[in-house]
Amino acid sequence: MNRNTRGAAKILDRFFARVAKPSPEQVDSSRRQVWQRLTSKLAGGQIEIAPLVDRRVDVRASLRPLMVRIAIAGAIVAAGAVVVVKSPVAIVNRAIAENLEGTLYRVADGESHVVGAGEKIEGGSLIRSDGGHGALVALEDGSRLEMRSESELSLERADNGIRIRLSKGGVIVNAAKPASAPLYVQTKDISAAVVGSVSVVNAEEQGSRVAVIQGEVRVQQGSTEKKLRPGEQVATNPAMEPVPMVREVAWSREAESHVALLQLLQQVQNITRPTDTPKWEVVSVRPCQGPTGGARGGGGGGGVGSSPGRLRATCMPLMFYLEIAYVRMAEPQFKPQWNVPISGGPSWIHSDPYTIEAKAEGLPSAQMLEGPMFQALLEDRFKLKIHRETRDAPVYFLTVAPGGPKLEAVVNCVPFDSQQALVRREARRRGEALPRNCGALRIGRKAGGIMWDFDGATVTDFALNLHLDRPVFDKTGITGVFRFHLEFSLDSMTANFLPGADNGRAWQESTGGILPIDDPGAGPPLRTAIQEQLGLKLEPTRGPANYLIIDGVDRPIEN
Amino acid sequence: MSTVTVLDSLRDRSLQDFGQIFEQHYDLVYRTAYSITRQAEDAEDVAQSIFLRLLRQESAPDLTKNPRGYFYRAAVNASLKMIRQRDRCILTGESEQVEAAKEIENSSDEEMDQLLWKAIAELNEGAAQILILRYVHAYSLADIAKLLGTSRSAIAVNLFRSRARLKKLIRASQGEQL
Repeated sequence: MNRNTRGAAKILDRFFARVAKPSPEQVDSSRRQVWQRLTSKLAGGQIEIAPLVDRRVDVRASLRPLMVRIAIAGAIVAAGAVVVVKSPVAIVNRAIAENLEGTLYRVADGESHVVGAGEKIEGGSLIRSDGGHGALVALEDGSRLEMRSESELSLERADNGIRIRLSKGGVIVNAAKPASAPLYVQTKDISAAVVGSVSVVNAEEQGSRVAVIQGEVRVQQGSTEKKLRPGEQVATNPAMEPVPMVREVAWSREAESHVALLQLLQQVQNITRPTDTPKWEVVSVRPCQGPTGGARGGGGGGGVGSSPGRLRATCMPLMFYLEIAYVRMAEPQFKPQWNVPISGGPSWIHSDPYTIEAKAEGLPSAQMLEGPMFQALLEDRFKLKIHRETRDAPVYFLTVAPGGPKLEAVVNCVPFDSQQALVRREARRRGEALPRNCGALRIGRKAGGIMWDFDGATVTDFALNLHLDRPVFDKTGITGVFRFHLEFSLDSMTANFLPGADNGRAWQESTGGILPIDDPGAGPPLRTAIQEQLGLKLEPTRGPANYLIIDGVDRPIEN
Repeated sequence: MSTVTVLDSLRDRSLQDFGQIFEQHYDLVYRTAYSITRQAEDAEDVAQSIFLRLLRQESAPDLTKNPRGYFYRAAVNASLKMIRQRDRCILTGESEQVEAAKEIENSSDEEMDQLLWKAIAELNEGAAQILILRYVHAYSLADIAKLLGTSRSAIAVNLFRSRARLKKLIRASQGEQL
């Protein structure tokens, strides 16, 4: 931000500070006068009013914009397209029959009427699927229902959302929009809150069964509520045998993808290490009395480093060491996957610093020392129990923004490669001359915000190094090596962006004070900066994300 | 005659409903209109027109969900409309903004205020509402998001863009190269 920009910002701030505010007396006086004018107009018959209570629930009035949209949608459907009507009004119990391989009927007054593809279905109507693979029905909020053959349901309004009343058969509900209105599936004995999930609900004579493919579903049976996660199911009648998920979704036209997704989301992996992982000869672990180090890479007085046969981890909390041992150094390609969240464990693992020094048997590589061997050390001395898990979680997809990417290609240096970085480090120790490595990541402060420079990286590396509130996956398809330069302000998305504990508090304090949060004057939020400065876009969505789960950990016994 | 007396004497259920709504939201409407129009008479006109429209059923808002949001939006929009009508010199494009800005080079605070209010009036309604809530009424981003029914990040992005636009205009008004 240059001097002119700062000047403009000050003028703008002064302008807002000058904004006039009425005194309480002015407000009171005005209120009295306006009220008198309104009531005198009423008394003089100049205004005719109708009860506001009626107006609040004037469904016909609220429906008018919707009717126009439906009319337009109808015209498009007639032209051969399939349209899902999205209405801005709070009338949520409408749906569109989307794809009919069997026959879909609307049942009214004891008679069945065939519903054609693209035809709208009014809320409250009882609909029945018959034959074939059933029917696909799209709700106005974007959710989709796949009805099994010979199923019956109706849609109705409920608690600001939609209730699907399933009276018979089965339905797969794809309600993968966490921000949308509540969506419930009701059977004769349960109510399942299914927003943000893909789930199967069956209503049978014996009782009901709910199974989850993706997301989380809350099932209410009487006063009991149960949360289900992917792969889990619940039946309301003990006589109902559990049904394998493969069989549960076998009738679906998307059965294969449902099963594949489920298998992916159910992965729980124990931490494994090479069988030939060398042992430690001597290990020393002690609490650190000094200030916690500020930087991830070892600068600022803390960090992890190795020399031939030796490991030194200086004055950082256990969480920092977990990131090094299980994330950064765990992958064979040594890619910096900062966006593998680590969850669980007590609060001290984030705050209490420890210094660890260890001498290995033989001369293992730096990657072995700081990866598998460091893992073994932490599991032994901190009684750490940890596993990997793939969960359906909020993630960001990094895509190309409208207008295309604005990336600066890099050609005059060796591309960033973390594995090579280790090799280069050891080569430098041997005194070998090396070409410039342009994979440096620099973070600085600029005008109340952050300046972030990642020079010579792929888009995938860029995505992996964005330490945001959820994992980031590169979906751009862009190849090549680029310079990524960003200037942005801190916000909730970047609460853990800066290196070190508490979003780099020590670093912030040592470099000019704590940076403001949510201050538009300090630059655009990161999401905007990525779009405007790089031509890329972060799209919030859900997907399979890797997690490390801490099952148990103890403070270490001092030497 | 106080509001309560009027309501009691009329004993009209629908008017009582209206009276309650009027009492609850008049302050917000008037203060918002005053901060934008900067004139008591104009603010009063804005407030009266909003409640009159409600009485006449010219608007049919759903007041059961977010009445404050509705009245705030109505106040901002009506006030900005009044500003636009007050001065027919509407800034419609980038080049016109620059021309208009250069005309008031070395402007005083009053002139700068006029310029910026005109620019705010030309922002889209949502952007103007957010800008005024944040910087005039000092609402937090979270409160604005709640009031307007959107996300905090969307509010932050919107604010940043609006500020950038206004700052550009300020720089232009000071004769600097855009």
